[in-house]
Amino acid sequence: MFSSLASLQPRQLAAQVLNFALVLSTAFMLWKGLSVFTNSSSPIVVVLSGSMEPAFERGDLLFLWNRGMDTQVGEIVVYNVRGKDIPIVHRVVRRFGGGSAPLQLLTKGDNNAADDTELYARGQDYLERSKDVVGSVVGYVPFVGYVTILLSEYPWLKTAMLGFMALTVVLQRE
Amino acid sequence: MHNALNRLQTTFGFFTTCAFTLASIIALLSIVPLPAPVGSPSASVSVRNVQVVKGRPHYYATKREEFDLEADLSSLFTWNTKQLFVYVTANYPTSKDGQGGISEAVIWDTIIPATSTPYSWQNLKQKYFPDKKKSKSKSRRESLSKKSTDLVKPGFIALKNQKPKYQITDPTGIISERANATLHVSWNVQPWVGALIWDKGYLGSRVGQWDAGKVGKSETFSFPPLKGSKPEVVKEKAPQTPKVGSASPVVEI
Repeated sequence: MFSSLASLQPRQLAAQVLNFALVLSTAFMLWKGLSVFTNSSSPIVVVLSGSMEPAFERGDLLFLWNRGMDTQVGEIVVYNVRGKDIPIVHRVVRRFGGGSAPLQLLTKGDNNAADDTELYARGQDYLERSKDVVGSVVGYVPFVGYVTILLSEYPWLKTAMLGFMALTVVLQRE
Repeated sequence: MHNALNRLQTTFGFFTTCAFTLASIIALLSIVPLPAPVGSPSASVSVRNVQVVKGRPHYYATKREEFDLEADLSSLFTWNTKQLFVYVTANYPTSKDGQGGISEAVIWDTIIPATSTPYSWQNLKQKYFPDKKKSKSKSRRESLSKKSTDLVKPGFIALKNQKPKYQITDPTGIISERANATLHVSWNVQPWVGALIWDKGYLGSRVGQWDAGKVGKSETFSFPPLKGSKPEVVKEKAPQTPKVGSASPVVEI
């Protein structure tokens, strides 16, 4: 099994490593470039809960855009609860401010009966557009993100997949 | 070179490419939009009585305001529409001098799903493997709901004296006697794949420009003074100190 690896010259091995590193860094650059273009820290997110059904189901992929600072009521935003690192995708139901005052938003999931006041941090009644919101949803692709949910909920899947990929790389004769 | 694993890989890669291309074409055509929509959406909304009462921030009382809403949004239901989210907002200036921008709050919303295609999983299953063990009441209820989505073209809304779903408050705590308030109707198209479209954005003006004159904006009204705050009431009961945090007026509209 390892004879194929051993037969590689050091130069070829180095070239392979370089190729691999190039692929990784290109992917990273694309991701960060998209972050800069959309001005959002996480421009593509996967829906985790069913609080926006039937619009978004678990596993849907959402594309975010964070350059529209004048968020309107009815837009769907992804925000982080202050103090926690949980992003939530909900729809804006109220807005106050704008103009010279900072824009404040209240959100609610379509499938929830009550708005998100209980989800916010203690003492926080509204979201600040400039601070708490990660981005506003502009596009969506169904189902595609379900793989990431599976990977995060069943960690043994991650090791199994990595092991499988490593096995195929080693066993392939190329 | 052509072992089973390679073939599987190639097939899967080809499938992914095809699916991705198809999704991009669908998303692009919905924005162009092609085929061009027949008709354009129209809506009219008007306010009935408005009441402002005192209450805790999340106090739910039984009496509410009413509004009328008539809308024809059927032109927004294309082959790529999964559902339509319609919402009515109350807009009023944030501060009395108009410096702070406009505050908006949703008072009512609804989700109108598109009619399910006869080839959807549920409908196919129903056609070929009908559930015979259903109780009578359940089948009647299901057949009734099926009828309502098949016969009625989605997108027509006619409401009279509709009570709002949500009671709105203002973060300053005072919503009484605010002038220049209006009700607006807005919509948001949720596609099967692609960009979400709102009536206020650029894509909304391409896909569904409001009919002239029927933009879905009500006449201007003012929030009345606080209910029960008439100055003629002289007699006071035993002085009641309000509980902490319970004195912010709630718009009971």
